[in-house]
Amino acid sequence: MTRYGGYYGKLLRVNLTTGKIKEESLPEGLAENYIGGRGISSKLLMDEIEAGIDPLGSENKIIFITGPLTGTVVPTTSRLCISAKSPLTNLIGCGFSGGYFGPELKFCGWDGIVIEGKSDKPVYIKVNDDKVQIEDATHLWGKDTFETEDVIKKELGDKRVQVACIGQAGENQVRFACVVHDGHFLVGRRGMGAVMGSKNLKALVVKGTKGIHVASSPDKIWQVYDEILDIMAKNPVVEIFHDHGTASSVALVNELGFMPTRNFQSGFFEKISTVDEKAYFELSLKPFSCWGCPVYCRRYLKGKKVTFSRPEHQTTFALGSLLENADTEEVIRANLLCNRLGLDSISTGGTIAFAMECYQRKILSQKDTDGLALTWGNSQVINELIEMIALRKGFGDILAEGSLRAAQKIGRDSEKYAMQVKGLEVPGYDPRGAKGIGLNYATAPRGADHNDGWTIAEELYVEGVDRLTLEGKGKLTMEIQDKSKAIDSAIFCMFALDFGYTLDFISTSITAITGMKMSPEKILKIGERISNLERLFALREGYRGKKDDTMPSRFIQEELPLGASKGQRLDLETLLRDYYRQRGWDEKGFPTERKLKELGLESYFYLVKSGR
Amino acid sequence: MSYSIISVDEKKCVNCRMCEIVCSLSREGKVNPHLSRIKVYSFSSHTDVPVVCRQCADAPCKEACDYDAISRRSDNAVVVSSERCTGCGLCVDACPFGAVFLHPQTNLALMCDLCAGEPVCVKYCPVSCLNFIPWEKSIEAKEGSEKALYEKFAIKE
Repeated sequence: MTRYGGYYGKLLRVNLTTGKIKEESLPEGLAENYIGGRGISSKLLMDEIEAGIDPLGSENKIIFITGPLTGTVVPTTSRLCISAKSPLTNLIGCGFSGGYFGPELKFCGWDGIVIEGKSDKPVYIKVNDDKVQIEDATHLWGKDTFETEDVIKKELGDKRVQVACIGQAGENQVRFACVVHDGHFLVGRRGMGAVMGSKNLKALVVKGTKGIHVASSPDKIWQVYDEILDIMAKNPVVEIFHDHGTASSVALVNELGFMPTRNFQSGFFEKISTVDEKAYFELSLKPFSCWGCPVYCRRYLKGKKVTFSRPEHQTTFALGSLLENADTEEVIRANLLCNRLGLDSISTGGTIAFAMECYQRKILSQKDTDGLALTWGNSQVINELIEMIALRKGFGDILAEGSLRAAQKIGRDSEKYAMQVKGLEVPGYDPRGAKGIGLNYATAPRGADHNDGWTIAEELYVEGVDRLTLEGKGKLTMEIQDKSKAIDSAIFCMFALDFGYTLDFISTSITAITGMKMSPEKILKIGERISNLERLFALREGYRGKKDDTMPSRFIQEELPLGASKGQRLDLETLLRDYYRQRGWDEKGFPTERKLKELGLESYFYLVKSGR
Repeated sequence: MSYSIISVDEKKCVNCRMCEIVCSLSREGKVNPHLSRIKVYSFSSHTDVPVVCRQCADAPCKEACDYDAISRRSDNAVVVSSERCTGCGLCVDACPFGAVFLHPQTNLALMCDLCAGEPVCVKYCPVSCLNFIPWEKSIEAKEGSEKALYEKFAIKE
């Protein structure tokens, strides 16, 4: 295994039930077939956990993992991957964050850490190179993510350790609780924080002094580095991201009429001008960055009432337009609250929006909501709900289950207002206004996740790609989904391709670091393998192919009422037919034996047979 | 005598740590921030301060060393001899800026020697927060005592 650069060839396994800590070799074949990060963690979860286990039970495993490029000079590779079976979707729950944790974990000399079992009292895991300790965290339980990180650093007397922790939301196993690192970097979606909470695991603390061996000579590495830095320096998207980061698309998406508003009742937010990139920039304090990245796309904002990082596009949507919240500082504050308590802002906003629409339609009244009037745009109520969700207080306890489960609990025909796919709340692009992203939401192996196949990069910015047409979207969506899987495995930032990287250059960097011969074709093949493997995981969990590749009926039946995408609906049927054909799956959405053989996944074909 | 320093305009720093990355790669042959001779410290006041040897005229580290391991090179850089250094840490304590470190593996003193006149951190800093310029032209000289600047952030605590 250690024959490749970029890997230590070692996994750390920590069992919280027994307290046993052991070193294992990275299984043979994983590097070549799955690269790292997402690919390897999905494969490990597929092979190590049983079907149907409770994601919040001790049988679930949570994996902290990096890729071969993590901790090398290659820019935009500071990513950390955390994966487990998701308590929100029952699917692969992997998520990613930038920041400094990923490289620091790598410098400890491990490719990843597999954590299993459940501790009987709150603990945190401390990794300092080969020294691994399970420490008491009783005194940290109940603290938010900012306090937790502060206390740990003070206790250890070391400002230069990296911490990934949960807040109260994770402790209370809110199904969309996230993992927070350094206050601003989150493994946000699908409840990885809840899985940590269910194991009584408050934090992971790492400090590593090792360096990673790479396959090429120093001259070659500097050459690759200089080349990509040069390309990035000239890239126009990088320039825009310096100022606005992902929020740079807020005004445009609204102008094109697919900025989700009032729980997707509209795609045009009338009050966008107070929560768009220009409004944010007026509060600019200074930019900040992830480790080793020349894009520095994040920015601190300083308002009259609150100082915190600029909300991303997704947060602007989820805590802004989706809730009709147009107060710049209140969106920033709601985001700050989510980060402190450890909540995914997208699912938090999506679940609150669901409740607000139920209130609008008189499915819910103040009797159900502890007296709160869930009126659109009421930022005080939004902040109160965020806290009630994290603490599972009163009505918050129902919302803490996510919109799908909350709707099932509330009943009264409310489920059609839960804007989710496979349990995961829909992100900030109305699929009626960009068909590829709609197809991606319906088919992504993690539920409605924009990052599974961010077709927006092409549907919004590439000339000749029409966001409203159905034609060609099967191929486009599939290719982007597969590319993303490989990018999530190396691990690059999901925006790498927008910053000037090409698939060619991604291959070049992986080859230079690992010594494995990569090519764009091979990368797409690995991505396809991961997409199919994760599809098989879904089948094993009881998802039924096409029958479950559904969307909330609103997208299919209701037209967007105003704005530049007025009159648009989503013809999912046509899109799915094209997509399955492109994938080499049958018309019911099951991978064929031939396809699985081609990808070396034929041993899982029994899941298709039993799923049918 | 005129000499150059790595001038730090901390207001520009975005905490990308590219200085740490290229320093460790170029001088230690591997990427690791703990092996870097320049280190960025972050503070809750949204301030990030790259800390690197100031090449002080009075060089308290040199004065503090009991083993004659620290000397001044002809280009004014204060440098450590790995043969003489015992890793006692007196220089680390003596540096008013917190810019002398101990190597986590060899335990020897680790400090910036200006990369023989072309500091790699300066070259790769994406925001021109680091500049290798004559002392008289540096922001530190303009703003008065550079020591005050560092004390403001209490890096050595």
